[in-house]
Amino acid sequence: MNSVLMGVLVSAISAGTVIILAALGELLAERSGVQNLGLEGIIAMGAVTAILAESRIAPNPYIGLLIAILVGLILGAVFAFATVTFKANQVLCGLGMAFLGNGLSAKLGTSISGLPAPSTFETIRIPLLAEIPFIGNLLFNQSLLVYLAYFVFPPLVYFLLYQTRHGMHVRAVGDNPATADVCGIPVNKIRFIYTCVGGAFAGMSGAYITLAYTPSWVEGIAGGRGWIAIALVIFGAWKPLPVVFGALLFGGVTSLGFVGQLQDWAIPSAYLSMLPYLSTIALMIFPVLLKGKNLRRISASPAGLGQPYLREG
Amino acid sequence: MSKRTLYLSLLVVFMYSVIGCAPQAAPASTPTTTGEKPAAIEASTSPTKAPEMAADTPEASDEPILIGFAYVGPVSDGGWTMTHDDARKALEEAFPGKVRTSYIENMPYSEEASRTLEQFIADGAKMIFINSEYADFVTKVAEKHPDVIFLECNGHVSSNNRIWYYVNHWDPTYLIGMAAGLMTKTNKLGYIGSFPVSSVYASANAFQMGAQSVNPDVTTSVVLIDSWFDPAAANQAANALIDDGADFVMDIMDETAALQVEEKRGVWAATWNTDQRKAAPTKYVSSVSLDWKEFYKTEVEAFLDGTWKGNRFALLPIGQGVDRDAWGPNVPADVQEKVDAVREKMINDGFNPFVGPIKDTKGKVRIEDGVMMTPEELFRWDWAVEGVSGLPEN
Amino acid sequence: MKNFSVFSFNFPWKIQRRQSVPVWLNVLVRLLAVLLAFLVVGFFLKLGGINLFSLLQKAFKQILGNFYGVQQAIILATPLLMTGLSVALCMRMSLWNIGAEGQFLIGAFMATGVALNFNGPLPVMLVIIFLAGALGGLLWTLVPALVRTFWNVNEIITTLLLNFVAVFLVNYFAIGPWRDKTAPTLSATPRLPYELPTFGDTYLHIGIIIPIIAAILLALAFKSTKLGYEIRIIGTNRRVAEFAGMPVRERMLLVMLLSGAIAGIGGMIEVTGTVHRLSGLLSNNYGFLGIIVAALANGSPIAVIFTSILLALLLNAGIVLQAQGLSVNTVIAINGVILIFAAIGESITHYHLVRIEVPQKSVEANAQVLESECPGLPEKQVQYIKTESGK
Repeated sequence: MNSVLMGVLVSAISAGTVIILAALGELLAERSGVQNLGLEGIIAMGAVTAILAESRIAPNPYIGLLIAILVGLILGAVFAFATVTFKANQVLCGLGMAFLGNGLSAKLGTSISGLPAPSTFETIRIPLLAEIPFIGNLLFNQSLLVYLAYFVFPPLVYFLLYQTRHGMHVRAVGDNPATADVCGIPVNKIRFIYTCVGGAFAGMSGAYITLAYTPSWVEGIAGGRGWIAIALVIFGAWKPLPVVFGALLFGGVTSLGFVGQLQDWAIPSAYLSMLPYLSTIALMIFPVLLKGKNLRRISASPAGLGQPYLREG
Repeated sequence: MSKRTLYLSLLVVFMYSVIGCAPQAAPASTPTTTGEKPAAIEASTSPTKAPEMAADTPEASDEPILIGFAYVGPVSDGGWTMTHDDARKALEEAFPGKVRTSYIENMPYSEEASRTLEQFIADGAKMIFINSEYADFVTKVAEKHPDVIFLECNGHVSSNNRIWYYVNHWDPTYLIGMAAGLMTKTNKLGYIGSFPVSSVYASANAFQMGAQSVNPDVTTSVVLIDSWFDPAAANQAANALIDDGADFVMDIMDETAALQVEEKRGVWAATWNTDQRKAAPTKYVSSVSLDWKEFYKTEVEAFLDGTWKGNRFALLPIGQGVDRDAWGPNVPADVQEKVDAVREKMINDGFNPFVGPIKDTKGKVRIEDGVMMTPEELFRWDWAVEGVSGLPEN
Repeated sequence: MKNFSVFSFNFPWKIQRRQSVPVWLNVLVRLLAVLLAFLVVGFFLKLGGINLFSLLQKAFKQILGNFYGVQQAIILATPLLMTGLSVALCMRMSLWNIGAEGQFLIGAFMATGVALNFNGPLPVMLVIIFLAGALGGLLWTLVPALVRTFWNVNEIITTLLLNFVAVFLVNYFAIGPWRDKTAPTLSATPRLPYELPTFGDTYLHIGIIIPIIAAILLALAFKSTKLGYEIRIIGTNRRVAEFAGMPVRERMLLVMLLSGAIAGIGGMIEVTGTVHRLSGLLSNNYGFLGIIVAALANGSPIAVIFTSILLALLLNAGIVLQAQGLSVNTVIAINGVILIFAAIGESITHYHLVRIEVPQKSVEANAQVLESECPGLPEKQVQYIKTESGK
């Protein structure tokens, strides 16, 4: 029994990594006022290019990771070019990017489909922590990206956004671009940069899927995780730590569905498969229920989110 | 008013610009295409004019006949559709100059399927292989074109110009189950299925029955991931099974995520479709490997000879389209020997292990003592046998 | 000037927002978007040695060259028209319904449930099935609509996530309780006993009329009813609508539910008119394609009729192209590029360049005067004043 629960936790950690990486990037972009709904497509592209880079350039996961980040960055730049430079509608461009990424990645991946990744991220054992009984070996014997996703990026993003002057500027741009502009903050520059950063994170998330998680590529590998990541940014009220928690919870619920089947719960598998999506919706509504009346504060969405900014004279 | 007419006229202008401008654009642009590639592609795509004329006189010329392949998935799935596409390529090699092929991936289960089939026929196809059941969408087109032959994998309808075919996958699965029964230490086997459909019932049942034939204490837990194609879910399902104590896991997926988990966690791995030992170099046991080449060749040959007949179905037996894959490197020799003895019996003597009494999960006898299940019954199996848990009861 | 960058450059033109966008420009920009998408993708295919345009030409000849092809395009346009209307309706109110896919499926699901479990004369049953389809789509939007209206929870994500849930639900019934027991491997329900009648000897069924009626009704409603007026105002500026005392919440709820119902009816038409069996694959991306349809139509119901036909032709061409060796993923990618270009074009139409009246020199001179008079002024503010004085 205990090992089963442990299994759920471990499963949740790796499933959560995919989502945390993508969600943190999205969080940064959204904080600057750009909602990139194309995350799904960028993850798909990151996933396929990571493994392609391994098989074409060198079977080294770090090269795959680098290429995936680069591809994410470029797609982020394309998105930023459309939405920040040309002020195009973010929802439409996001969906377009999702279509483009899914279609293109499937086209690119035909040669390596279904094959195991040439090389995967090795696990890094953290000396002392891994000795902790029961959980030590499970939590502290992971690949690099897992540590980054749980222990490095969330505090880093938090620090950047809340403890630095630059972070304040980013938030100002997301909340009130006109005022930020008057204060001399380069609104569109910041938005452009953080949209690219968001893309890079999504690329990284894709690389984690194909070089550590599954580790192989097939069409449709992103499997809706990009959308979940966007939902969890909303659940986390645009703050990094709740996002991590939400991603873990999502991973746990998915895994719990399979455990449930093994425990012979009298629930059809189809309903258990719905659970992760339903619980994500519940997670989005949950913060509202919790705080009830204080709507303005909890909705916490950057006020300028989704609105292009053009200085008008 | 003017708004509407504007839209309409612009739409018309646009359509015509696409249709009309292209011929002028095409010659201008052809010289700029470089290298051998365009020529190669032209060769396989250009003869559409010929079949249009040939349609009037079917027996007439030396033109190669066109065979269409409509696939439910992408050819790069590394599984089901890839095995069919391998057979398509084999056809082109086997009948040089007589046969050419074209294919469509991800054919949707909708009216678009009929459209796709009509498109093949418009291109001049005389024979169409469809690698999943599209039922009414095929019926509609098959009735309209009695001169075109339709072969539907996994279907259930046949007519003068239409047959269905499948493989006796339960036989090799039974063999893999035997290996599992002999190799397991925990007596807990795992099976990762997609949906509660008959191929999954038959496969999981055969797996359990094979294991039970050599190890009465063994049980099989099934986890369904509600997809044919979700590596992340397969990964989590494999982990859940292993956490639950399974030390031999089989899956019916089109990809290798589960195998890779099994390799990493040191439990035996078996799968479907093709040789996947690369994904689990040390723990690979075998797979239900599919090979449509011979069947496709026979059918095409019959068509070319004019001896092809409809109104039948084909369930390809073990050794003729489906078999266990070559054993993995660490499968003990005595296990291989024991299992292969049964395989010989299946191939040579038509041994059928699916004989009553067979009980369902509630202990009710479904197949009476001494009664042998027919291939058709096995094909449409929709209840789980005793010892299998996780599949809905029917 | 050391700080000479794109962000501080004094361009002699400036970008200004248009008060209104002329119709011809809207149409032109969208057609250009489609054309540009094909040019871009065509360019890349050319590198791989495939001539997209000669293939396309052949494709359109095959589709428009005979009655069968035209029929098929109309049948394919029907679900696209319904999902397109569903999305367009929400767009009018600056809401996003990304869940038409799921609503479509649940509409079909409810219609199937009624058709398989109840008996009655055909006309009566068809009316009940129609209502069931509408109700299904409506119910599937209920939660997203309620939480969006009252708690401001992002409707894009909730409607989208419900798409996944809808597929699982329909799969469960199509493979489980409702499956066709005579067809062991089909993963679909039996053929529905009630079908929409067809026109004579064609494949066209009366279901193709419903979306056109719906489009016209919506267009009339937008144009000449109080409700349509309110929707337009709320969509343009919610604050203004609130000040004017419009029932903003009620209208939002109504629009979202209606939008779901329209998609649900689309699913009902598809299952009773075209496919005749329910399976998890029925929705076939129609919901997502509906977003392209609505975006190209700029949310206008009448324009949706034309854009859905355009997209149906493109998709049909996709089938022809596939048989010629172009993979389905290329077609998906083309759709993505169309959408991005359409969005960019949409945005561009709202702005136009205006020549700045003040001569360049005097701005520079002003700045120099400014700098010499207030030497301590931070660089940023100098820049700011410069650009402002330039306007």
